[in-house]
Amino acid sequence: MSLLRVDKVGKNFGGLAAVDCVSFSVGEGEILGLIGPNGAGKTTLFNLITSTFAPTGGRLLFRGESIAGLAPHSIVRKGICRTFQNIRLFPRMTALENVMVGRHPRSGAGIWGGVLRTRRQRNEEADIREKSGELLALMGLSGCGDLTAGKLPYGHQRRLEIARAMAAEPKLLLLDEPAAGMNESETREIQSLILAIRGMGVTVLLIEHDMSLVMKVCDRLVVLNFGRKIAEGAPAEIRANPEVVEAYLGREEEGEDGDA
Amino acid sequence: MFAEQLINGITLGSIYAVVALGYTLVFGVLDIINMAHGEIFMFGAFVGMLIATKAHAPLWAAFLGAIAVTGLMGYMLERFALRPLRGRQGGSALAPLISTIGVSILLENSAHKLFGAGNQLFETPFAEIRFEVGPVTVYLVQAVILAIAVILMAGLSLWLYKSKAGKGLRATAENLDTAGLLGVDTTKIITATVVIASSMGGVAGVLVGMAFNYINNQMGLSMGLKGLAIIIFGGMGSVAGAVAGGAILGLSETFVVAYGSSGYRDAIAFIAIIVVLLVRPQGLFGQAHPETQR
Amino acid sequence: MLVNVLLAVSIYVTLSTGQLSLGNAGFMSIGAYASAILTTAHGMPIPAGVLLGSVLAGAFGVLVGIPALRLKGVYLAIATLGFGEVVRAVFINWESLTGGAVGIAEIPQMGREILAALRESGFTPETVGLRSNQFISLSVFLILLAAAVLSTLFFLRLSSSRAGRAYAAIRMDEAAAEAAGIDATYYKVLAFSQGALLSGFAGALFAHSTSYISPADFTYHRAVEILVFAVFGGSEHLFGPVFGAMFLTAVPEALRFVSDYRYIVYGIILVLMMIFRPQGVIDQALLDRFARGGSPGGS
Repeated sequence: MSLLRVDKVGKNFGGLAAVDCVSFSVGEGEILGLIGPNGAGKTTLFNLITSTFAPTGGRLLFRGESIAGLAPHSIVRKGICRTFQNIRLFPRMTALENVMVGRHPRSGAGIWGGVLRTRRQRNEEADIREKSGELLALMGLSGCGDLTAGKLPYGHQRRLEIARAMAAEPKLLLLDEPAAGMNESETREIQSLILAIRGMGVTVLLIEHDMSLVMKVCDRLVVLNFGRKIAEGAPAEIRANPEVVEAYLGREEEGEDGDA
Repeated sequence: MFAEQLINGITLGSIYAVVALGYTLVFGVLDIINMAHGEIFMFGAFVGMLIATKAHAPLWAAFLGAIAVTGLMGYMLERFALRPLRGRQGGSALAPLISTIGVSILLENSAHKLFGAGNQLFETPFAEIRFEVGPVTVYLVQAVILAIAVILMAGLSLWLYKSKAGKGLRATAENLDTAGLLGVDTTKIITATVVIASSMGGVAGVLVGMAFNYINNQMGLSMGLKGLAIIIFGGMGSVAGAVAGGAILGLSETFVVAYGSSGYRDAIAFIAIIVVLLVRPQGLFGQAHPETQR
Repeated sequence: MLVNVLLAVSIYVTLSTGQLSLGNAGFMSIGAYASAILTTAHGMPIPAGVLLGSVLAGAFGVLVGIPALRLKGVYLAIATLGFGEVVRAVFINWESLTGGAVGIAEIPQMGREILAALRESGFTPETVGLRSNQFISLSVFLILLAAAVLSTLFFLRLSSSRAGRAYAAIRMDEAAAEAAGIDATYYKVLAFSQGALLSGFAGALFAHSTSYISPADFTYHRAVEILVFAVFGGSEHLFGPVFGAMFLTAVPEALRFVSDYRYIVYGIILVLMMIFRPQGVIDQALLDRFARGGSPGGS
């Protein structure tokens, strides 16, 4: 069974179709790449899946259940988490606190718990702290826990955002250009991180412009152009698809895919 | 009776409209709600009172004096409370609001120290002159107030839409940064806007003195909040909205007092603020531009 | 006065989710009037009046807080200011209940009530070497001190817990907070009504320490005064407004000259702070420098 089914989903902004009747499925345990030129509607699709806004048409099914129209935080509770193209951390918190905030939907202490410091609250807080620390370590940020998030170097911020998303124990993780602005070695780290995340049983939907990364980590690719899906398939098929090459690869050649 | 109330309402409404125009000009250009506008208005009333009533000078001198003083106050406000906040990185949208609240409370209490707390008489030489038009009594003061208000509004509109400076101002209102890049001296335009808006407040202060015959240092606050209610009601930055909103508030207040309870007169404006903000945040004449405010 | 500390905490709580409310003077008056009316006209004991007054203010907080979600920044500030003025207009006009512009006098005073109760059980203040009025002032002071300390502790602990992290996250980036699974609607309304409840509590205690209230106690000036506490002290950390309230209340009491020009000074403070130190006197960096080893969140 597919984990997420995007079924004829569309979104209009003032008569302009940003996403137009797009359908595809993400299988459990898969790494699916979502690619396409700038303005193709990739981030809009992410915003639809996470209910930042409601689709104008179509259905979104997560584990067979419709999620369209739920509040964004309920989507997170269901098990879909995301990162943002332009990093959105809580800049004046420490790195650890950022991840601890991410733990919010997987913990339950209310006001009184927090004020009275009940045993349950203290245990939960210790658990949040421990899990968050583990995630920082996983993302290679062990030493950064007490540093202010907004002052971390750019690459660290990207990974911290992934750690925050992972803290909610998602089934499906949406990554919006995690390697943007990174150098080659940082990109390699991201690559192994994505694979490690999949290793933890998390399905990944990845928007990325770095073609070498996409080709290496993704099991399948979905290509969008002007809001429409123009192709879907294994990386090798996509690379050979003439329509894709014309719409996308032909213009944003990465050099190593020399079949243009 | 009804016709007289109508005239009272329109007179009051025209004063409100002039006050609201001061807010709307500043908001249109700077995206700032100038909380000190009401207190500048109050100072205009006091200057007018000093000249017309205490010094027995003619009314035009009162207007000129009020314009000069409030214009200067507008300059000071811009120079010392607004300009230092502009262009600062990461500045909160609330900073100018808080800073002008500071100026408002400073001015109100300075007026308290300077002029005392209670009501002060504002006498005009022709307060008792009236005409009988059929069964309706019209005071000359009302006609003068209405005429001045209309002239001000028309003059402002003409200036905004016809003159070169007015066009520069509107370009600045469209987009501050772009206007700056296009060679408009935005600092000059902003200063001029605040000065003009403030002196309009000063004129409105004298008009209120003429209309009610008494003034006090608290009137800035209540008038300020009403002006605010009007531009929220009419749409932030909209000249037509300010005029229509002023007229509507003036009329509804007058009729609530005439046919209902006078105690809730001042509450109408605030209830209007709350309702409009919730139902139609862009106001009657404002354009919807969602998610611009953070 | 320590009531100011409570008010300062109340504006901070709402602000800690990024909502600037200028309506806390209004909520304060609801708490004050409710408790005053319940204890004078209905003979309720003071603690019950204070409790009900606070709860009523909190309930109004929910009522105002839900529609207020649609408003941001400047608009919220003005709508709440409008709310405060509407409340005041109601209190002025509902004369049968509130005494109109004159207000309510002879509200049971906390200290006097305690003294009366103790007298019945045979205690006289002279046994501890105090005159009656000294004893009254002392007991009012102690009650207010306890209230201020307790509510400061309450929100201090809250801010280093799960809910407090949610508040801070919403304040810094609401969309990112939602994306991290935080129900921003719930926490914003919660913070708003907590602020309202605390203002109401402050108002009720105010009524029972002065024993006389009128609409003039809850004007725009009060709203601005509460704002000045937060702006001067700083709103990054709870200690900011608390410090602001204590400092700005203590100075005029110590210096007569300042007291005469209190609001003029407040006005100047607001402008100067916005220009030179918008984050307030006390910010996180300052606290960190003071409290090495006691970082926030250490449980």
